[in-house]
Amino acid sequence: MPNIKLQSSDNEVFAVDIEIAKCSVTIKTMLEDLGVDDEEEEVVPLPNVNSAILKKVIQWATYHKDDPPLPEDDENKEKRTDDISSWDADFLKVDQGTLFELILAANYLDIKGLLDVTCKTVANMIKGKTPDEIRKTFNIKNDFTAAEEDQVRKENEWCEEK
Amino acid sequence: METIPKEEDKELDDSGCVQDVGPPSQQSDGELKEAELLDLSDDVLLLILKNCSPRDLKALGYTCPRLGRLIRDRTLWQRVDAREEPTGRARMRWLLAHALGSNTTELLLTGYAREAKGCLGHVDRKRKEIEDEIEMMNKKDDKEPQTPTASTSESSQAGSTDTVGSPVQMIREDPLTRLQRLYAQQLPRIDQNPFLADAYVITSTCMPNFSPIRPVVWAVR
Repeated sequence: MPNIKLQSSDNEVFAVDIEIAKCSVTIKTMLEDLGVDDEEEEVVPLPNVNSAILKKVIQWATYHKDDPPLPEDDENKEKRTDDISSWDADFLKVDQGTLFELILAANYLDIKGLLDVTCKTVANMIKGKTPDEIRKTFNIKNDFTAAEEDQVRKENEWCEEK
Repeated sequence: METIPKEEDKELDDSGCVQDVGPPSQQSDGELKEAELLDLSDDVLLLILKNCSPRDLKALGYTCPRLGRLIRDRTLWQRVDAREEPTGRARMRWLLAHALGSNTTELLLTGYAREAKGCLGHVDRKRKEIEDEIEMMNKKDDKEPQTPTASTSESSQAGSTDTVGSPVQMIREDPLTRLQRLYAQQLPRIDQNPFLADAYVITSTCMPNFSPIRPVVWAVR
């Protein structure tokens, strides 16, 4: 299998099976546009992804290389966040910083499967929490103005339905 | 965050991948820090919000102004499945005032009625059907104007958001009364649930479109 070299933002180079690298639509398009010759040793620079994250992304893509293509987004399909495979769940047992870096990388590299599963993981971290608990979990500063806060208090009938 | 900056964080910062998408306010502090939820761009945050239930979106909306604005994005409220938790008075009012818009095509709720008189019942219908019925109601009502209720003023305040769709305004004017009237007619008699005192369970026999996932009740207080 021909390899392709991916260079992270911190200049580490990873040799990756070209078919695996192509799960990134960004890389796939890049290769098609450039018309890369298999025999040539191309290095694709990825200035938005550091080596730690790129390593994770390659690990994910390698495991999922034989997955069938994902169906197009269907608005009528029921939303589910409980269908994360156990491998993915283990893979995503990382600190929040890494999780968000993975989301950014998946978005930049256009890897739909990885983006889906990382976004679902964050959604699951939000699930069932009160606004205060969400702020604590994600270190969100409550920067409502006094007037907005007032409005929020008026609207927030949270406890009423507990 | 109270975490000690690690070697890794320095590299992250150099990579530029956080700065690339984060809002300016998140970068100006000059601190080297881990990526956080609010460092993500609006587009990426919306991808996360698409996986959240209406209940979670509501909670997120009360955490900070930026999320408060984002959760009202129209694309999140096209098909609303709020069956995760019973929708009571407050939640329904919030949905009507802040979330549902002219592009909402479907609204799925669970709830229950305590009194036959104020029966709300399960709403599992296409928006078009509901709108048609409301229009019919309005035609009938024209002769007997309604006194405005407390929720009218509340809705008009929230009317400044971009979620207002003209037919829905009719629901929004007085959501609970409308829905009560709408569904009290459809569910004139429902079976009393032996397990819930003074509650009524709505079964599929009294509403053809209704497919119960669990006992479906709407609390009316």
